Amino acid sequence: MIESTRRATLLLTMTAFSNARMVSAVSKLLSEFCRCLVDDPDVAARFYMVAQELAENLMKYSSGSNISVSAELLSQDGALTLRLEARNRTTPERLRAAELHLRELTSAKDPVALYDRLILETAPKLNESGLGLARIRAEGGFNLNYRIDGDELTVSVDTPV
Amino acid sequence: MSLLKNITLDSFGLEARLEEDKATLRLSGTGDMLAVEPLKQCLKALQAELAYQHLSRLDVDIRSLYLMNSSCIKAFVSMIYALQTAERELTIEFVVDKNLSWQARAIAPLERMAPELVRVSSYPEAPVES
Repeated sequence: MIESTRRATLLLTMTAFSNARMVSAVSKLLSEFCRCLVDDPDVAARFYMVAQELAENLMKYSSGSNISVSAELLSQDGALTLRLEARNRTTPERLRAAELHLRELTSAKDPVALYDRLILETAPKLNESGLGLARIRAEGGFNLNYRIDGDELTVSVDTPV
Repeated sequence: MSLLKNITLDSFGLEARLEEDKATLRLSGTGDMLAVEPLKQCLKALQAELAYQHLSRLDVDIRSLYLMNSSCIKAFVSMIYALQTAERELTIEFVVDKNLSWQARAIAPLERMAPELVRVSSYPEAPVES
């Protein structure tokens, strides 16, 4: 297995992620980091959307401290990959719901069809979106992965650049 | 008196205009969490106007928007669903900047959701305000 080399890393750790202004600030910082590394406006726009959706989830679903977000430009065998990871602790109930949702999203053979289905399912529900993670694959074209370690959830997304 | 109000936040703006037979929304800035509630309120008021004034067309110009989060998209999904359910005869045209490819990608699911209501038009750039 060929190891990836980190070409650039931005790591943010927080003990609280309490309001929408902080979400906006974090996603803008991640987006600017991406723009400094990748000379492709379309990749930067997709990365901004993904950073926003992941940061919003951190604010909505984190419980306790130890929240982190990292953005990395990785090099492997001459190919570059942009990766974003969001990590947080959450409640057992939320963790179970997140795992079910993420399992469905990561195993979907057609992420666009799944996104369209979720839009139709959530359309009658006034106070629920549930579209952010689905959008990352369907609209952003990013690969989506996750891991659960105890009460900690890590969502990882990446795209070749 | 119109129920529609313009929205002016630090990072998000929405200009609403009612004309003879159509309504126009022009969104600008960043459609993030801060924009969601004002946008929902605006779209709710808009639905009332569409019904009351029997408007046949809604233009939503997002060319000056830099981001639209999933909750903002959901706000439009909810409005489109309500219009579908009410069987309103209406055309909703989203105007996107063809140089900002994320805009067309973000709106495409709305067109797939309601092809009888929604269409997307690409223009080179947002108009310059005089």
